[in-house]
Amino acid sequence: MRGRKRNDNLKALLFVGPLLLIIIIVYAFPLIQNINYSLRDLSDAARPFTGLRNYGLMLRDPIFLISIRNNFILIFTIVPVLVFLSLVLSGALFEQVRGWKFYRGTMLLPYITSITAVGLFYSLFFQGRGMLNSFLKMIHLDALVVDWLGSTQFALPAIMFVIVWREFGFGTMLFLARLTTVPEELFDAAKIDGTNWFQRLFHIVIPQLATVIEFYVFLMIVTMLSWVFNYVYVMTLGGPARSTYVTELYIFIQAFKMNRMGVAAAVSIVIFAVTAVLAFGSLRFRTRLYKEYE
Amino acid sequence: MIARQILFIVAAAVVLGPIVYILMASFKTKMDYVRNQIGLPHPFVLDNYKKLMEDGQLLKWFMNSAIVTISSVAVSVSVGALGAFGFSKFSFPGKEKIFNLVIALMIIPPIVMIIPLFVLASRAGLVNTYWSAAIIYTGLMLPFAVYLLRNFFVTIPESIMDSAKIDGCSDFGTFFKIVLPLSRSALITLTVVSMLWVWNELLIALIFLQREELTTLVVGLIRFQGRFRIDQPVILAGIFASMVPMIVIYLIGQRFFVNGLTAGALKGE
Amino acid sequence: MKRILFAVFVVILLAPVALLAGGQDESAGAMAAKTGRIWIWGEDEAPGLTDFVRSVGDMYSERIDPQVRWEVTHLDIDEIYTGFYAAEEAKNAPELHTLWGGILGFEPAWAGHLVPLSDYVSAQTLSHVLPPLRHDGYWNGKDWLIPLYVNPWPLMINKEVWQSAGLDPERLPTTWAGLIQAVKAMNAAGSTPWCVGIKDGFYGTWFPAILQHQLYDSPSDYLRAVVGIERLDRAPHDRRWYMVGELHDNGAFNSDANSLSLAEGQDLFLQGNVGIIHASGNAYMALLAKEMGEDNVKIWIPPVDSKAKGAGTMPLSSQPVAIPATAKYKVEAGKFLEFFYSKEIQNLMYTEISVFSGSDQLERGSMKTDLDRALYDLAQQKPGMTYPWLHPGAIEEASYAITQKLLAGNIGAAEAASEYEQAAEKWRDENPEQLKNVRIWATEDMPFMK
Repeated sequence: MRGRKRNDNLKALLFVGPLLLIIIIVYAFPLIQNINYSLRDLSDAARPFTGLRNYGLMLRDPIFLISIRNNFILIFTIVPVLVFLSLVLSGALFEQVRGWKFYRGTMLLPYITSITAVGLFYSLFFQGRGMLNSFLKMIHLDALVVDWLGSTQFALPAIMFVIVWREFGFGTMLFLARLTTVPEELFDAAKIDGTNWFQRLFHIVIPQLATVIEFYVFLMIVTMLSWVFNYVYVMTLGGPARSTYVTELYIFIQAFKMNRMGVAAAVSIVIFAVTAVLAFGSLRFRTRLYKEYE
Repeated sequence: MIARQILFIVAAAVVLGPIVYILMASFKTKMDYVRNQIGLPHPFVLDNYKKLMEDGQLLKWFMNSAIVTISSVAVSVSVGALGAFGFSKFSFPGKEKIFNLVIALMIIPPIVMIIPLFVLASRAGLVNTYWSAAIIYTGLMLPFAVYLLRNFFVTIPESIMDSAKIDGCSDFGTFFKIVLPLSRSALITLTVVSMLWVWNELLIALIFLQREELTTLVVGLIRFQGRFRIDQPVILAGIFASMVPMIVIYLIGQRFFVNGLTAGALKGE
Repeated sequence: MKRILFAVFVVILLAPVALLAGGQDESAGAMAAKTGRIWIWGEDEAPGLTDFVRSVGDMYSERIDPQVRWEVTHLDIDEIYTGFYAAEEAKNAPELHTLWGGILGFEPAWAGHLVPLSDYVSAQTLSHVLPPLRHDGYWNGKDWLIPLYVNPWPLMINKEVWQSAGLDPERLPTTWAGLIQAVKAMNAAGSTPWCVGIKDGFYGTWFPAILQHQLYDSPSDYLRAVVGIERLDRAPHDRRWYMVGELHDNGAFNSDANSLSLAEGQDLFLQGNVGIIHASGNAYMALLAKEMGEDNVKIWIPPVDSKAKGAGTMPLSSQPVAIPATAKYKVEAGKFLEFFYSKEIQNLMYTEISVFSGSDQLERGSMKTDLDRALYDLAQQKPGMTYPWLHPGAIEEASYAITQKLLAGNIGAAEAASEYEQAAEKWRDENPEQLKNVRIWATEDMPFMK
């Protein structure tokens, strides 16, 4: 019997081996190396050990602090907006609006195009001499004309618009998919009771979607934290005057333009740690949600 | 009811508007773009697409994106399927823990791994080769692949696998002849979603495929402005051309996209 | 059926290997005993450069040493430093590699990634490099960088636009006040006096390159402020902010400069109705002349009321090359540079691809156009320092953000100057080693700078 067990383990290794090898190269090794690099000065060929110096440089760098602030702004503005939009749209779509399949289809379109293509378009759109302003002038709203991407006030909001534009389809589709598993009877009963669409949204849709909403929120927070590089890199490069700098851009510039890879590694560790904490917190929150349902 | 119809018409307009504009403006001359930005093309020209093709770059970028996408997706789906099968049909010490660890990696953003991977690739002389980007993309797609496929594999009844074994099938045989064919839709879904991600990816291509011959589509779009010559309609034509493959695949296999994107989330709660 | 499936699976697994094999860096060179690699950048500024360097490599193999074959690769601009460090990391750097000049070029040297050129190239050859360019490659008694070509970097005006504003382009202002008056006039006439695109930040360093550099006798005068012997927010170093501020306040720039990239900003000149462009490179200037009218454009060094030696000089930017520490054939690299910097080849570079040389051996007789003749005269007789090369990356990057704020009207010149000095202080604090090295550069005696 024992020989069989060993044989089994060997076979399992054959199947799972290649997977684990690649995972180790692409995930495990870099994560550990980041810790190593964050404690050294990599701009010197000798790579001397410098302890926590890179972390100190990071915390003292006003650009890093601006980046963190901007990521927070993204999280606390975009996530609620996306949840709201996705709830409303999915709730409305679910109640069989005419042509709902078409709408669901179109709403995912932004999500499948590359952020780069989208970003390049919106770079032109939000320019001082871009399409938005041309349109505003055309309908005699000249007073609203602003150099959107060129203003330290409006550049980040412009980017936020683009992020929402691209992301809301995914949330809508996600909630919608979950809604289709909700038993019809619940909705039918509510309709018979004479509720309107809005009440049904609050009393049925949202509670049923509770776990998906939580998961979506977690996913979007992580996204706003570390999957927005594309938008910023293509549209503003962190400007004007660093008003759209985000943490990923900071890592990129420090590593590849400022030749401070140690600092960039330190920031990478910070992002990883925050993501891990969020994941852990989300897991606990979800298990507690499950417990409540029981 | 009407309110909702209006809501959706507005939403659809917001979504489709830019795409329609990009297409429309890609037929303008530069002068027309500058003077008459929002109006219809006047004159209507095909020059921009001609310039894209003649310049030779667009085709090259497509090729590079295709090479990197196909190779990394092929490997990640294959290795992911093998691994998922291993996780679902065997038991070995630490299986659950290792599996949970692997799929937890899904949420780690690539930016976190970039620097050590760059140094490693540099040492191995692999920067500016397809290898570095392909291996990294493969690795980044594996957790999701394993997650999606294992969830699917566990739904295949034991009885089918057992009867195959009785017929004298080895484990590999079972994998190839029974499990894979049954998982066709899951595999297609995974392939489609993975391809979407790699095709559109910027950061890794930007860092590991910098050489002009290796430029992928997204990187090429950014670089497409000569240092001092700007031709916005040509850029818009390039943007539209870059969107076409994914839109086509999407229109053909919308359900796979939807399945793939939701499966990750729904089961993950 | 099952066999087919299996076959498909195997093909899927092996296909990537075949596909990926296509991307390997091939250095075949079967014939020659040694293959030297040259990695350069500059096609954007000097079209035809890569092929020209290749042909020089072929000439080298024919005339100097048939045992050596040269392989020339053109890099992408983002690749210049990442590619360099990657190659050094792999201990496999090419024989010659492009870098930026000045401090950005010395940093790899200080980190141990370069060897001195002067160990491999003769003093005689090096003596022909134009002094301001040689200054930017010379540190601690040795030469480390040598220009591959030179980019003249003056202003260029559109005469018609000046005329429409009631100005006489044949009698351009000779004082700063005159310049401001001209700007006001062009603005009043509905033109954009000076086109700017600063979304990607670079223009922040272009302004002082043409305005501030004229206030110094030599680069060391400015470097003293970089290293903290003087302050960047005191005269004359702070004047750059006041000059840009005054230009901005008088409507010199297009109002959307912050949302236009450098290229988009430059493009405005080609769209017409722009009076001044800060033009980089004679190839680009030839294009401007062609599009806007050969007789309609003119190069110009703006007056800044300076009595220093730098007054009226034309800044020259150049992309130098250096010999990496892990290059295999350093001696051959040096010999290549000797050959490349010979009078014959340097003049050939102009006659073949109209690219200016960084050497004083370029002959006026070869010049093909009036524009080139004008540029030649300025480059050879009044070569100016390259301001951007004189500070480290961190400070230069700070100037991007500060200039963007200035142009957006968020801050005034005094505040800009003060922020700039603060950025410099931060750099000095956090980089004591580099500071030491820059001080050496700032204070050392360079015989060729007399």
